Amino acid sequence: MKNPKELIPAAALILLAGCASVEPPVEQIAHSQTAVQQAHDVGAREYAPLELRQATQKLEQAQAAMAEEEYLEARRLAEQAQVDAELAQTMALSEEAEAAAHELRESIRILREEIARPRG
Amino acid sequence: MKNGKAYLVYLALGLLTTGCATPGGPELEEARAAFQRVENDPQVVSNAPVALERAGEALQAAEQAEDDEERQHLAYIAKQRALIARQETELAIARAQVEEAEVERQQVLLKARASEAERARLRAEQRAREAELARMQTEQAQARAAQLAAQIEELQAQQTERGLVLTLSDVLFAFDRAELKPGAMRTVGEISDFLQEYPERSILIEGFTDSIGSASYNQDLSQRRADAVRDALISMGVDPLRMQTRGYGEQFPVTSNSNEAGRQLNRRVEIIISDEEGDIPERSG
Repeated sequence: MKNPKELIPAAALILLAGCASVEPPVEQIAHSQTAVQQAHDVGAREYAPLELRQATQKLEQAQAAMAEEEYLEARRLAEQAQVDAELAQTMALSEEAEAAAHELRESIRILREEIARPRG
Repeated sequence: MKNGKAYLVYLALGLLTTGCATPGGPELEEARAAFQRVENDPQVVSNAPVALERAGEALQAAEQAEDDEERQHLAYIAKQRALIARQETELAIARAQVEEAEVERQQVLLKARASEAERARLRAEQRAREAELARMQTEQAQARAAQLAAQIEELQAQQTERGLVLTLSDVLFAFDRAELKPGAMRTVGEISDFLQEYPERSILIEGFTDSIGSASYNQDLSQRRADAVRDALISMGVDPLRMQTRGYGEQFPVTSNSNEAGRQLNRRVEIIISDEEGDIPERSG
């Protein structure tokens, strides 16, 4: 028969494993969904497609983990999806602003040329 | 054995120290590197201070993680937060550039409008000058036309289908001779002045007599009288090429030769002034 003392560490491990995955991360997943939607709204599909896809995939994986009741995994994936989506948002906005700045500088150049051209 | 235990302690310490050299694994290293790139960048500090702080906090949480999986996860979060801080900086800079460019564009537009307005003003001034010039030229032309009318009236010329006709009467000539009396010079002078004033016109000088005497004598006298008028005008500076003379003798009387009054009227020299083209139709008949 096994020494009953050897069971204690095993039991402790089981308890610890149980304590780590406490609640389903419903709020976190909601936050991540919002972040991904916002990324879409600011044009991440056009200006930061890779980062947006990464966020979307992680969110899907988080939702799959939720279905499997793997709540720790789900929380981590959702947190990563959120931060990926935030990065995609900022990238999209800054790409767009840079494009606008470029366009403006072009139109200024054309305006200057028109002024310089002599007219009758 | 004591030596065995000491060796284990040293081994453990050694493991610990080598652990400190690369603690936490590659993900944490990446997160630290990403943070280092932004934490001292003055542009990030001024443009994205909140994002920078969050990145620092995320890195700290990763450093303090107790198990590997959690540390990997938190390190990833920290790395992304550092990248977000960088992107927010770029965004702020790009937006500032857009604003600057907008201001510049407004200024250039204003300049364009100002220079266009200036050009329009200059064109308007030019047109005004041209209109004024045209007006002055019209005025001058009208003044000249009025002057001509006045001079024609002074000459007492009559408008006929052949042109303006001046009649020099017999009294301006010595009797039966072709010499002009001194008093005739005033009239000749008026004609000369007119011709100076209107250089495009020419004249035809026609001489006539009454019916007393032979036709050939009268023909000769009328021609010589016409020539005399021409010579007088030449002496006053009129170009001979502008003048022609004819003698018609007793032809074309203007009235009956049966009394002296009539005969005096028929003894005349007619000066026909051409139109602006210089043409004078010949007498028909």
